[in-house]
Amino acid sequence: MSLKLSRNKVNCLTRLIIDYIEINEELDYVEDIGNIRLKLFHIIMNELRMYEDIENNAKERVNSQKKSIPEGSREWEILFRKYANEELNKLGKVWD
Amino acid sequence: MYNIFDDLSSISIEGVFGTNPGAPSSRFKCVKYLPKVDLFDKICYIIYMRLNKQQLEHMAFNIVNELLKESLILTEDKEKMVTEVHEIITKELAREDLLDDQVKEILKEKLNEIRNANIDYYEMFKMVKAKLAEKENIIL
Repeated sequence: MSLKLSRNKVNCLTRLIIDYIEINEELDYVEDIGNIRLKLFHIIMNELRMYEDIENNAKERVNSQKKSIPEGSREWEILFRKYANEELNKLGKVWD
Repeated sequence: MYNIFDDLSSISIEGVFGTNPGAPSSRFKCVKYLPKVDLFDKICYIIYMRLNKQQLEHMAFNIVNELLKESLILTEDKEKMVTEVHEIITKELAREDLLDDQVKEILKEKLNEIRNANIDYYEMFKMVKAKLAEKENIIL
């Protein structure tokens, strides 16, 4: 499975978020904007890799069911999405 | 106002694949069948599979959380920032979704041409999409 967004797309998102940070008067940044850009790129790439891992695990879970479910069938897709969402929800959103 | 469809009316199988699309070529795979309606939808579903709602929300949250954690940015309203970052990402990805819809519509009209030329639908989709993305200045 490949990442869901290309490197070019991640660069594009990074640029858009940097533009937002730069023009937003409610935000301050203390680091060099180039460092923030680099950090942002890595955060997004890591997220995408994490989704890939989660979806690989979900795929394994669906395929390991007692009942054989053809990949790509509606039932397969529903279970796959359910397991993937469960794993993502487990991570939660907790401020550090 | 620029209308992408005006420009696309000139796109033909020949325009995308050369003058002899039926000939063996390393540029695209020939298939013996063209997507029937159910397969067509399935292919479109695969093409559309990018980030879902939960993933987008998680990504926006994590971006803000990580930047704050490392003190790279300062804000008094982090929830607002999450919402705004989420909106930026969603808007950009929606542009590509819209583009996919446009390509799907164009190819629907040309299904017979594609069928007769024995062209791989997915390759065709990618090439038309790339052409349109360049015109619309959308990064793929």
